[in-house]
Amino acid sequence: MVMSISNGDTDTHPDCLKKLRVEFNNYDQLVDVVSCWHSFFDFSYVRTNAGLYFDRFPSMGDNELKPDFSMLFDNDYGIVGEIARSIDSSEDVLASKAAQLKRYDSDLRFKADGSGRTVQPKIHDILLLLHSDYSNKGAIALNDFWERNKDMRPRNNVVVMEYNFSTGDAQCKYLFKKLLYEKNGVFRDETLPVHLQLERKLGVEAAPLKLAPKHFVSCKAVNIFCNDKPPTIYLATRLWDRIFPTLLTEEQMRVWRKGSSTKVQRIPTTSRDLELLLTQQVVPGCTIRKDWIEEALEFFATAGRAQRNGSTWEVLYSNLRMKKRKSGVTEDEASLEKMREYGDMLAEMYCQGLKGQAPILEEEPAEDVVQRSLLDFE
Amino acid sequence: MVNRSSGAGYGLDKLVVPGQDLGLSNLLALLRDSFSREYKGKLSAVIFTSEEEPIGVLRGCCDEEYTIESDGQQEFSPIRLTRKMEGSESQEAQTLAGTFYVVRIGEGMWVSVTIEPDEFIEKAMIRFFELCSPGISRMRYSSSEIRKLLDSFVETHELEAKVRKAITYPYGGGASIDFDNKPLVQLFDECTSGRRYLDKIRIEFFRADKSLCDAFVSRQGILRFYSGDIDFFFKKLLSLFAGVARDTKLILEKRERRMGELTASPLAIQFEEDVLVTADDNNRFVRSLSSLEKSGISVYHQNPYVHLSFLDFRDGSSCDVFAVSPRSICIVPSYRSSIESLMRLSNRILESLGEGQLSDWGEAAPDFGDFFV
Repeated sequence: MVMSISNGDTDTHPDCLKKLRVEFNNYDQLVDVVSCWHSFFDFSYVRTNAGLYFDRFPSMGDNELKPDFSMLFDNDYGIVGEIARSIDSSEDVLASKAAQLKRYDSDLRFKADGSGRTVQPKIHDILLLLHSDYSNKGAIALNDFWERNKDMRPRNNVVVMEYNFSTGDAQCKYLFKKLLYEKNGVFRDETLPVHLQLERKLGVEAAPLKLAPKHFVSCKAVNIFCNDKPPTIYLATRLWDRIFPTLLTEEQMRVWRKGSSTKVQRIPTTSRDLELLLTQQVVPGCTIRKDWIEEALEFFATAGRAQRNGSTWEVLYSNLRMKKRKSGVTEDEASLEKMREYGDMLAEMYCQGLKGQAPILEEEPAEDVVQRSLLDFE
Repeated sequence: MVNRSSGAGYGLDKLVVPGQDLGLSNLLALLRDSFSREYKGKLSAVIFTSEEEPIGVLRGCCDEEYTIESDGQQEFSPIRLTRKMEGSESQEAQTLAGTFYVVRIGEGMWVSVTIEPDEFIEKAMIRFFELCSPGISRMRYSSSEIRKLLDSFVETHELEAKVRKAITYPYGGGASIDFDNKPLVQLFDECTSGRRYLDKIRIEFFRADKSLCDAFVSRQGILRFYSGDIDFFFKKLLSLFAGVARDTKLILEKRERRMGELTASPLAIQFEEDVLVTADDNNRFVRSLSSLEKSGISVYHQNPYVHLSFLDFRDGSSCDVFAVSPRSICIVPSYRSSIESLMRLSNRILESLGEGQLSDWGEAAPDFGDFFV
C-alpha cells in the first residue's frame, strides 16, 4: 500500500486513493514508532530486569486516558508517551493538545505486567514525540501556549523529542532526538541505574536514540497495531491478510489448493466475534473496538467483498487479482495493468464501489503453471 | 539455503525392507518386479517431510480426483496413485496412474521412489503431495546448496564430474540458458559471473575414467538415477541431499505463533552480497513475491526497508516479511506456518535476489548503549 507497485499515473480515483494511502502510511509509521520504543524498552530494561512493563495499549485514569504508550521502569518511575506527527499552531489545536497532556498529569496507575496488575509510580514524566519536519515549530508553539496559559502546563515534566526515519547512510533507522531548548523538560529518572538513565544519554550527552528495522520488526509483526484508532483501510487490510485466514475451514482451503485461489469462499462473522478474536487471541490487550470493525466491514461491503445479513456479515473472501485501466485509456484491453497488492486492491475496489463501479477482477488459473518442467529437460 | 554444520549423510544406508536382508541394490529389482513392465531407464526420488506416516496423510487427502491403493501392511509397500483430471475447454479429460514407494530416511524425513514417467511425477505424484500440505512438505535446494554438496561429493569420493546438461536462470527472472557437456567447476563459475542460479542438472561421476553414476538433481528436491551403481546413488548422493533436507526441516518446522500469545519465532535469510540497495531493488523484490502462484501480499512499508505480509492460499500459511538491510531478510511466521509454504517463499526470495542462507533469526540482543548514536 505504501507505494503502488504498478508504474505510472494510473489512479482512476485520485483523491479517494490518495486519502487512503496517506492514512495507511501515517498509521503504519505510528506503528513503527511505537514498535521502536517497545523494542528499545524490552531489550534495554525488561530483559535486564531494569524495567517492568511496556504498555502498548494503555488505558489509564478510569480508562478515559489513551496515551500512545506507557513505560513503567519500577515503583518509582514511569513515562507516558504521546505521539503527535505535528502540532498546528492554531489556538484551538494547541489548547486541545495542552488539555490532553494536562490530563496525563494526574496520578496515574501504570500496567506493571501482562496480568493487568497496576502500579502508581512516585514520579512520571510525559514524553511528547513530534516528527522532525514539525518538531521545533510545534514545540515552540506549545511552549508559548503554556506561557500564556500557565495553569495548563503540567506539573510533571513534558519532554519533547523529535523522530525521523534516517536513510543517510547504509543502515536506515529511526532516530529520536531530545529537542535542546531551554524550557524542554528533563526525564527525572535518577532512580534508574546511571548507565540506563535516559536523561543522561538523551539530554546531557545529547545522543540520539536509534532503532534499525532489525531491532523492531519482530515486535511490529506480532503487535500489528498501536493505541490510536487505525484508519479503516489499515484495519481492513490486516483483517484480510491476518485475521480472515484464521476463520477458514479445512474444506474451504482445500478448494483453493485444488483450484483457483480467486474462487470466493463465504466467511460468516460478526464485528463482535472479530473484536474478541483480535483483542483476545491475535493481539491480546489491543484496543481495537467493535465499532471500528463494523466500519471496516462496511468498507468491505462498499468494495464488494462483504454482505450484511441482519446483524451478521458474510465476508466474500479469496485471493485478489485485479486490473485497472491506465489513465486516459478506456478501451484497450492490453493497456490494463495488473494489481497484486492487497492494500492497493482493496482501496481501488472501495473507491470504485463509492462510484458504483465494479472492479476488473482476474481469475487465477486453477492449476499452477508447471514451472521448469521435468518434461522439458530430457 | 541452509546454514549447515556439516554435509554428513543421513540414514539411507539403513534402507532395507523390514524383516528381509534386502539392501539398496535390490530396490530397483523390487521396483521392476512390482511394476511388471519394462524399466524405462531412470528412477526418480522426491524428498519430503511428514511428521506422521505418509500413507495416512495421503489417504486423508484422497477425493474423487485423487485415489490411492496400498495394502499398507508393510513399511515398504507400493502405493498406486490415480488422478482423474476432468476435461475443460482447453484440455481433454485425462487419467494418470502410477506406482511409487515411500521410504523413511530419518525422523520425519521420507523419500518417494518411482520409475514412472515424468508426466506422472509432475502432474500426479508431486501435485498430490502439494495438496497434502501441511501434512507433507516437499524439500527444495538453493543453487549454492547444490553447488556445495556436489563439490563436497566430488572431493570426498575422489571423483571427476561432467555436466551432461544443466538449466540455469538469471536471478530476478528471465530466460533459461542450457549448458551441455561442461566440467562442473566451469558451470558454477559461469553461474556466478553471469548472476544466474542452477535450476536442474544432469551430471555423470567418474572415477579413473570409469563412469560410476549418471544422476540428476533439481532445486525442487527431485533426484534421479539414470545408470551406474545404484547403491552409490542411494547411499552416497541421495543420502547427502537428505541430510541437508533434514537440516532445512529443523530450521523451518514449529515456527507457528500461538493464538493468545505475543511471541514469535522469526527466520533470517542472509545474503552473500548486498541485494536490496535501491528503491528499484525493493520494487523488484515486492513484484517477485506478488507474482507467486496461489498467494497474496500486503505491502506495509516499501522504502527504504520493506515490510510485507505474505499469505499462502495453498494451505493458509502466512507470515510477515521484512527486508531489514541490503543483505538480510527477516521472516516472522504467523498462526499457520507449514514447511512447504516457507520453502516456497524462501525459494522465491532466493530466485529473486541471489544466494542466501536460511537460519534462525537469532539476532544478538542489543544492549542499552547499542541504541545510541
